[in-house]
Amino acid sequence: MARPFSGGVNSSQAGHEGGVDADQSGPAAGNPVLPGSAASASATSSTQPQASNLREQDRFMPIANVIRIMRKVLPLHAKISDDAKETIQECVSEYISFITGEANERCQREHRKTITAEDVIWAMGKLGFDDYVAPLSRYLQRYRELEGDQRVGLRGEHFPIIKQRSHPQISDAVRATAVHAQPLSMRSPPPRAPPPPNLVMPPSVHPPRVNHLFEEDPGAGYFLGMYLGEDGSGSSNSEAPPMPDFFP
Amino acid sequence: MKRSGDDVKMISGEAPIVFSKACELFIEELTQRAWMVTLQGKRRTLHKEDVAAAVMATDIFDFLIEMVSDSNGARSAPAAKSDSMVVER
Repeated sequence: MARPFSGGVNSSQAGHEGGVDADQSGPAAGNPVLPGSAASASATSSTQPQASNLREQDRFMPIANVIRIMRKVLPLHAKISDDAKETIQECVSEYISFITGEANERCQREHRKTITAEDVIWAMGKLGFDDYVAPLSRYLQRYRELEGDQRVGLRGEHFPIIKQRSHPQISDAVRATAVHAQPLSMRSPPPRAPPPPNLVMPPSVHPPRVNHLFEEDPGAGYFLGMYLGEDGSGSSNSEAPPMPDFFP
Repeated sequence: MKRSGDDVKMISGEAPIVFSKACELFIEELTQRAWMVTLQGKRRTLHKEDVAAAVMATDIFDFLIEMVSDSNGARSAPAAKSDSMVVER
């Protein structure tokens, strides 16, 4: 049978058709977490756009990604109708709002201002997504290990040995410079990197800068990277950790 | 900056990391369940109705009931049928 074809998801919506309810976006801070959305670390509610002014790209996860994930679990020959793709896309946003709302309530009850990853995972368990809790906890733990490892080799130690993954571009000169660092200078508060510009960044590209979840002094890790920047190559800014992007 | 305890919430940098994985798991589960409905209908195209059926059949997806039962979702005016609605004979 001929299938009415909308010609792609977004082509049928030239703009907002006014059919969006305010509840689509959930509680005040519960907008879908998207690049540029108000749910960034430095956002306040006064900068949040009205729900009815949000573009489709701000209300939903990118449909290409949604489709890709769907195809992962479907047989090769399976076909997916356009409206099924859109429906799942909408459901994802609803899911995010749902979970965030619960996590948000918990933070309010406990008088905390920041919704943490643990809050999110907890909310999922509470709302029936128990099966997700373990995989997400592992995923988070692994993520933290990877990020921590990139930034700092030795937390809490006070001699300037920099543990780095072997990187072909790191010159011996730079290493030597680092080794001669003065412990005293490590005590001064290092310049802080600006807060994470955005929450949605793949871990491999850009580790989060300051994260209140890390109980230990983040300065230790920061400092090692910044010390290199100040003293050594000079080709990177002082905020860069000793990472691949440190050497252009 | 508002007082703590107010509406204004911040979200840690790790939360979206968790959400990205969680959304993946969510999409996978919903899709798999919907596909099972498709197979029961001896079809090979996953339709919105299959997603709706999966939602109805799964307790934890109750929060989606309204969303899938509104036949036009959140995208078009309630009175009009969406152009992308598939009609199957």
